[in-house]
Amino acid sequence: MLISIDPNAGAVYDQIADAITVRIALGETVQGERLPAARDLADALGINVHTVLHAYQRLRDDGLVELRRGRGAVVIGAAAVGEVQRAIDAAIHAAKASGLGEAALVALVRKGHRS
Amino acid sequence: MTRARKVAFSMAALLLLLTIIGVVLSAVLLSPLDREVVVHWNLAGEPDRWGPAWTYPVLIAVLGLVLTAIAIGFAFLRMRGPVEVVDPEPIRLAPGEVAGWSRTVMASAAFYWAVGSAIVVTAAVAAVAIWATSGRAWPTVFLPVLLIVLLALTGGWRVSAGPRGLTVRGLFGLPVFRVRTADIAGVVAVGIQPMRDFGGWGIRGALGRDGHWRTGLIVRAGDAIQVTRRGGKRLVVTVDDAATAAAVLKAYLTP
Repeated sequence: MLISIDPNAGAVYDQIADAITVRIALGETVQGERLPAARDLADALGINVHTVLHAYQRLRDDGLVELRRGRGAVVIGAAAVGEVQRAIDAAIHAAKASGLGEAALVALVRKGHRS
Repeated sequence: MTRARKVAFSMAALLLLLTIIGVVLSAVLLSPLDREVVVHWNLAGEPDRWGPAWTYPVLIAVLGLVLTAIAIGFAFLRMRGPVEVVDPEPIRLAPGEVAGWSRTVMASAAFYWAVGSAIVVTAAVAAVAIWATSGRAWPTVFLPVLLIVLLALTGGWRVSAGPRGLTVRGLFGLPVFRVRTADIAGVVAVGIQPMRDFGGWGIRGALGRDGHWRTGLIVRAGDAIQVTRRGGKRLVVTVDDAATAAAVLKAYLTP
């Protein structure tokens, strides 16, 4: 699994969790796949193991992975990501057709998700 | 003559010397050599077979000469090494971007079944032997335990590549093989055939034709990442998607 981050551009754990979410959306990481052990991804990126664990916890809170002692992080939310991705593609299409900007679209998604 | 070949010849000479000492010593201690001595013991530790005393010097001579021959064989043996080599372009990184790659590789299911069966069989034999001797055959448990340990240490690898270099850990964290970025002279992806390139599976060593030592962490045939250290030694790890790992490492090499 190839992950890239920018340590000077916001919380690293968010970047890792985002990168894995995108991988799931693209089908590069599939349902039932086990993510690398936190220590291994930390070795690879040269960061603290707790940062990776933090990212995995966010993915668990988002319903994308299941964390099990001894089994690590296993992807369980691939179908949900695929379904939501299709709905978002439609929303993006509508926004582009009507000239609505990216920031406005993000604001609408965030407001809708919180309410 | 390369250094590696010298080592092999010295080993052969040492083994031959030990063989001669062993034969002479056993012949002196057991003389006269035509008398009957014990050559086999039963499970209870009682002698149950006798043979002529010269059995032992002959046994030592044969064993020693075989080992010597193997050592001489190593002096001439050159593993050809990987033939298919992929030299990927380094991945492109934006300023400030850090890329890391990690992947686990496992031996095939057939391998696990084979070793698993061997563990079950040796454990069963040990259990029967210990029961039959009311405990005296307890050292027989070492064989299944040894197999379990070997499987745990070499049955798969967790491979990580990134700005710090290459890190390879066993499935349970040990053993660890690490090559730091500053020590990497070059890295490529190669195609491995275990028997041809390393003479088998597991943690292997082999001499390349260039006389440099090559350490192999080999669980299967196919894709592998090959890191060459500044001193010329190589570390080869079989792992899927090795070209990506090599591309990541290359992005951090200083020419």
